[in-house]
Amino acid sequence: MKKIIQGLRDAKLKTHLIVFFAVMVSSLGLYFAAQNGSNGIMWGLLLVVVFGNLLALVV
Amino acid sequence: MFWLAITPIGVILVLMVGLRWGASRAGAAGYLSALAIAIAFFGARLELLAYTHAKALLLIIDVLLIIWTAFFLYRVADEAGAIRVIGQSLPHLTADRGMQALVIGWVFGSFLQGVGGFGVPMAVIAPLLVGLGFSPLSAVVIPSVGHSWAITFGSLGSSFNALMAATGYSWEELAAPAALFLGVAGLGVGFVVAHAAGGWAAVRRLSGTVLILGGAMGTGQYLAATSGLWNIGGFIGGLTGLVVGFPLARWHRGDTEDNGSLDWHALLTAISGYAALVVLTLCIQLIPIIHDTLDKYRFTLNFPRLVTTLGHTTPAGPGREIPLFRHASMILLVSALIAYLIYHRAGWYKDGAFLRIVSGTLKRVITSSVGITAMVSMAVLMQHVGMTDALAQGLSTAMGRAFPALSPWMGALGAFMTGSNTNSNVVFAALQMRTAELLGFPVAIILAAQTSGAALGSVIAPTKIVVGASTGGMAGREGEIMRKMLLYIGILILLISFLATIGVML
Repeated sequence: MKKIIQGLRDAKLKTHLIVFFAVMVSSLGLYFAAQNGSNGIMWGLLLVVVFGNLLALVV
Repeated sequence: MFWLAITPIGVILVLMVGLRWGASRAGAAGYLSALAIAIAFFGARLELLAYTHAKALLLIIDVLLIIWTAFFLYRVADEAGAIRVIGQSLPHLTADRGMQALVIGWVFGSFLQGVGGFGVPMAVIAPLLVGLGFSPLSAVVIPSVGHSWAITFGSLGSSFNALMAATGYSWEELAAPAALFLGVAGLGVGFVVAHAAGGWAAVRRLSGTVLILGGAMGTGQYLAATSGLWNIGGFIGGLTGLVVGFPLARWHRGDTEDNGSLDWHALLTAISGYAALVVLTLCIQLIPIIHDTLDKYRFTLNFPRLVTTLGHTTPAGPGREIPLFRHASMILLVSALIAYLIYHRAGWYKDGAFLRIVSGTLKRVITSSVGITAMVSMAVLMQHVGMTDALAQGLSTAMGRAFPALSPWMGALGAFMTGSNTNSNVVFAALQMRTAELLGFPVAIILAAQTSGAALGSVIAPTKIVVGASTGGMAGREGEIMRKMLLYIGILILLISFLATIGVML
C-alpha cells in the first residue's frame, strides 16, 4: 500500500489530472443519471467522486 | 447542528494551518467530511447529492476557466521575457528608496496581480527589491502587502467571479461596494508600503504621492469594475498607477543624477500583449452589437426542487449560466493568442516556447484546480443540505449587531486557511450572505467586506508567506515575515471593519 501511495505521489501531476477529470465527468454523469432516476449509476458515479477525493487526500 | 455544520470548515482550517497541508489535500478532506455529515445528519438523499454535484460542476467550470486562461496569458508574457522587461524598467525611473518601494512594490505589484496573480507579484518583485538593496524582510513584506488590495479584481477577476458564482448576486450589485472598500484599503496599503520601506519619515515625505497614486489606482479600479469591466478592474487600477507613477517617480528621482536609461521600445512591446486584452475587453463589453451577439450563446443545466429528509428546500431553477463566447476566459484566451503573436513577431521566443507555456500552465493550475473542485463541491453541498443555514443561524445569534465589523475577519480567516481570496469566497460567501439576510443587513455591503477581508487576509496565508520567503531569500524565516505582516494586515482589515459598520448604517 505504501508503495502505491508513494508511486501516486511521485506522479502527482498525472494523479491530479486523473482525479480532476474523473470528478468533473462523474459530476456531469450524476446530472443525467438523476434525470433518468438511475439509482445504481448514481451510486457508482458518487463512488468515483469519493474515490477521486480520497486519492487527492493521499497524494 | 451548528457544530456539525462547522466541522468541514474546521477540518480544512486544522489541516491547512495546523498541519500545513496543501489546498488539494485539505479540500478533499473537507469535502469528504461534508459529504459524510450531510448524509448522516442533514438528510441528504441520493438524488439531491447527484444534482448538487452537477450544480457544483457549473460553478467549478465558471471559476476555473478564468484561472486557467489568466495564468496562460501570464505564461505567454513571462516566457517572452515581457514581465522581466517591465520589472527592470521601473528602477531606472527613480533612486529614491521610498518611491522605488511605492512604484515597484505597490503599483507594479498591483499591476502584476491584475494580469496574473497566483503569487506572481511576490515571486517577481521580492528578488528585484533585494537587488536594489532592500533588506530581505522588507523585500518580501513590501510586494506581499502591496498587491493585497488588488486581489479581488486581479487575476482577471477570478475572485470576484467566485463571489458572484457562490452567491448568485450580479456584478451590478457587488462591484461598487467591493471596489470602494478595496480602493480605501489600497490607500492604506500605500502608507503601509511607505512605512515598510522607510519608517514614519518615509510616510510623512511620501504621503502626498501615496494619496495621488492610491486615489488614481482606486478610481481606475472602481470605474472599471462598476462599468462591467470587473475582469480587468485590478489590471486597469494597476495600469492607471503605472501611468501616473512614471511622472511622479521622475519627480522623486532622488539624489542620483543618472538612474540609467529606459528602453522604451522594449517596454512598449512588453506591454502591448496586455494592451490586446484591454482593447478586446472594451470592445466586447462596451459595443452593444458585439456584446449582444456573443451573449446569445449560454450554457446551463436546469435543476428540480431539492428537498432533504429534514425538509430543507432549494427551489427549482437553472444553475450558474456560462456565457460561452462572452466569458472572461474566452477574452483571456484570445488575448493570450494575440499576445503570443506579438511577442513571436518581435522575436522574443526561443524554440519550443509554446510547449513550455502550455506545460508550465498545466503544471501550475492542475493541483489548485483539484483543491478548488473539492472546496466548491463542499460549499455547494453545505448550502443545499442546510449546513450553511445552520452555520448562519449560529453566527447571527452569536454576533448579532457586531456582524458587519466581524464580516471581513471571517473573509480573512477563510483566505488565511485556504491561501486564496477565491477559495475564501467559495467557502464563506454564501454563509455571509445568509447571515446578513437573517440579521437584515445589506448583503452587498457584507459581501464586499467578505471579499475585501479575504483579499487582505490571503497575503498572510502560510502558503503565500512560503512563496515570498523562498523568492526573497528568507526561507526558514517565515515567522519573522508573518509577525511583521500580521500587524500591517490587521490594521487594514480593521479599516474594512470600520467601513462595513458605517456602510450598513447608511
